[in-house]
Amino acid sequence: MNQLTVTTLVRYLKNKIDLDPNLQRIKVNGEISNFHKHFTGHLYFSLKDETSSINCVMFKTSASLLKFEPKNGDKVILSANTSIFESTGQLQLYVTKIELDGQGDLYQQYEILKKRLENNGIFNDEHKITLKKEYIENVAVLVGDNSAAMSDIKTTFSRRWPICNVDYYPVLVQGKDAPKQIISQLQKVDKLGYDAIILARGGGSFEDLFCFNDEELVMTIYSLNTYIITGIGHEQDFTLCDFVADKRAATPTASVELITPNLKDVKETINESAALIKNNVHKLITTLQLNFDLYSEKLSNFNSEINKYNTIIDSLKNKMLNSVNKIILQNKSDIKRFATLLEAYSYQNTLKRGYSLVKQNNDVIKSSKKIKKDVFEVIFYDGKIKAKGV
Amino acid sequence: MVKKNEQNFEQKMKALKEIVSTLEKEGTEIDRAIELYQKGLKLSKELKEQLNGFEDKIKKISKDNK
Repeated sequence: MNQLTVTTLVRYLKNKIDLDPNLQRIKVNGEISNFHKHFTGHLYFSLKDETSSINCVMFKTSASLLKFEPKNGDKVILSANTSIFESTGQLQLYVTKIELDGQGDLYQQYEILKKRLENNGIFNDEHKITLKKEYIENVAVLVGDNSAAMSDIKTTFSRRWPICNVDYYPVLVQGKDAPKQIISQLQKVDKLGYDAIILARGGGSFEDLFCFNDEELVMTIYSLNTYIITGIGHEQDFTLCDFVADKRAATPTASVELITPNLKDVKETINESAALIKNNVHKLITTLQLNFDLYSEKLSNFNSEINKYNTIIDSLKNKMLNSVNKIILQNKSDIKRFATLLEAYSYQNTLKRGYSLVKQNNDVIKSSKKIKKDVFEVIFYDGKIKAKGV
Repeated sequence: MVKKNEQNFEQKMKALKEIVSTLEKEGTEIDRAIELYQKGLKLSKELKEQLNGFEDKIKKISKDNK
């Protein structure tokens, strides 16, 4: 009998297994246990069924491609190669892919139901209600009691819109009894006059979320009179409830964010509006001031109009006075003229009777004593002569 | 109200101008001239008073609305 070293033996076994096509590129189904994620990113766990168990390793490069977080108890189908770890001589599966077992069936069910509901127009936009209030006041939240989703929702409400009245209606969010309970709560809150209903659940596997693909639940949501928003699972999860709801949010937190204004934004809007109003009033005052200045100018123009009239009236008064004075002067000179005439006529008749008039230096000489020894005038009725006293 | 006063003012102005042109025309009788002069002075006094009234009113309005 040959004597072998441990290394030789282990290498021999490893080669045997590595070269056996029945042990390479195989699919194995079972349940995950002893799951451990190493800090390097590699996954270590066991795959077991009722009677057996085998060690498994999934290296970081493959593990990073996983679409879900495997955990103990998950029923899975592994794609793997069989080999031996030389240091311990341990047989293990080198896993390249993990799929959740049973998902295939469920997924098929989901697709069939989705197609049927889609064809019946259940998901059509015309059945969707829009949220009527910008500043929402009353919200009913259907969520798992004391769940992470519930606490996320509470935090988000108190952060963004703490003045909102939020009532929580705890429901089962997983398992076969969940749809029935959610349906009865939805029908109850639909009659209570809420502004919106939130139906939410935290992340989970496709199977965990499968209760939200229940046809009766979908039809209940379809016939709700109240606005409903769903926040089920994560970004990549789409349940039939999401399709039928009036709005779908990627997460429970997002469902609150989508229906509430942000208190900070609202405050900012108020401040901006106040500033705008102040600005406009300032503008208005400036305009009024300008108008006032314009009118003031017009008023002072009006003042100069008054001055103009004053001047006109003064000049008219002067003109009147001048005219009246002229007329008076005219009359005076007429009177004077008439007086001279009258005077003349008064002695003319006397002269005709044979009297004559003596004038010296234009004075009528009434007395012989008054005459100077000089030339004087003697006026007859038909003429005058010059004479000299002897 | 104001409009009516303004019309009165305008009418009075017109009357005053007519009086002046009548006085400036040659051959106006002195009795008539004196009568017109008296009437003209009365008119111009009224017009001035009215103008003063306007002025006071403007001052008051400007002061009240400052």
